[in-house]
Amino acid sequence: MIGIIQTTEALKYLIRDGTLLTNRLFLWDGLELHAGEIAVERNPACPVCTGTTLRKPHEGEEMTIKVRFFARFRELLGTDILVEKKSGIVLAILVKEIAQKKKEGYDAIFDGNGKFREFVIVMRNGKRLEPAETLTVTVADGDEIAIFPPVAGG
Amino acid sequence: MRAGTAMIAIQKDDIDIGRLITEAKRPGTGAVVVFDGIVRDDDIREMELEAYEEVALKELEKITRDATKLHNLLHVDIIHRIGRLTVGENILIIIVSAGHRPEAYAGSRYIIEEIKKGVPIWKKELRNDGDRWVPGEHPHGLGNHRK
Repeated sequence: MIGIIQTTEALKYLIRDGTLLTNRLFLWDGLELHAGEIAVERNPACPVCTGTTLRKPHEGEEMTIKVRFFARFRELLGTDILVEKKSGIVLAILVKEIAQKKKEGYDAIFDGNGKFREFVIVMRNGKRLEPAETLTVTVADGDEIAIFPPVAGG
Repeated sequence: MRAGTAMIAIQKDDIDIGRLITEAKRPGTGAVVVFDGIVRDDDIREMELEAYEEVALKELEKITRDATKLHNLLHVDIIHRIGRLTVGENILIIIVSAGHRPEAYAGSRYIIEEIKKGVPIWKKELRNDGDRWVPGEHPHGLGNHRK
């Protein structure tokens, strides 16, 4: 039953016709013969469909990471956010998780593809990271992550 | 009180520039250049400055070391203010002491340009027609790629 639905979806995708099951989770209850659906939104931090990866957790690993936003980002998202994590998590994903609490803040930092906007500066323990590094570097206990717009001192 | 060392600070309070000039005079000093960045009346009420202090201080220290080496400086002070400042107030004071004026001018210029490029400090104009974060002169913050 589900296989036929999946095949039909794949065919629809290929012939570019009909309405795809996008942003909806289709539920089929065979016991009660009941079909339903719930609306879902794509998680920009999803390790499966956004091209980012999660590191496997080590047993019993507990860590605290401090995330600091500055200037406009601070106004939108707050600062000195302490996050407790059971395991190392890719830096970009951690920041996304936090930024998602406010759409305006998320949109200020990430583009439509869930990548850091070009001008956003990311630092880990006072050292600047290249955009590509933010997708591979995992955070460690005691890390301080800073996210900020271009500087304008002087 | 300072004992012959550079004063590198990010602080709310203003500072006595006259005293800094006096203390910048070292054996061999022939010129002291003072840069004083001031809140300009661009139709604003006030300006609010914020810094990533720990990192900004380290950056300022590095800039001071580089400037001293590059331009043979005898003494450097950098005081960057944060918090709320009104029109006419000092934002940034750079004092550079050297043997001769070319080094003093060049050193002073080097320091301000490096600060503009990469030191994590931001300012927001509090305007009558709404607040506005001042955009950086280096949109991608590329200045900070060194090190």
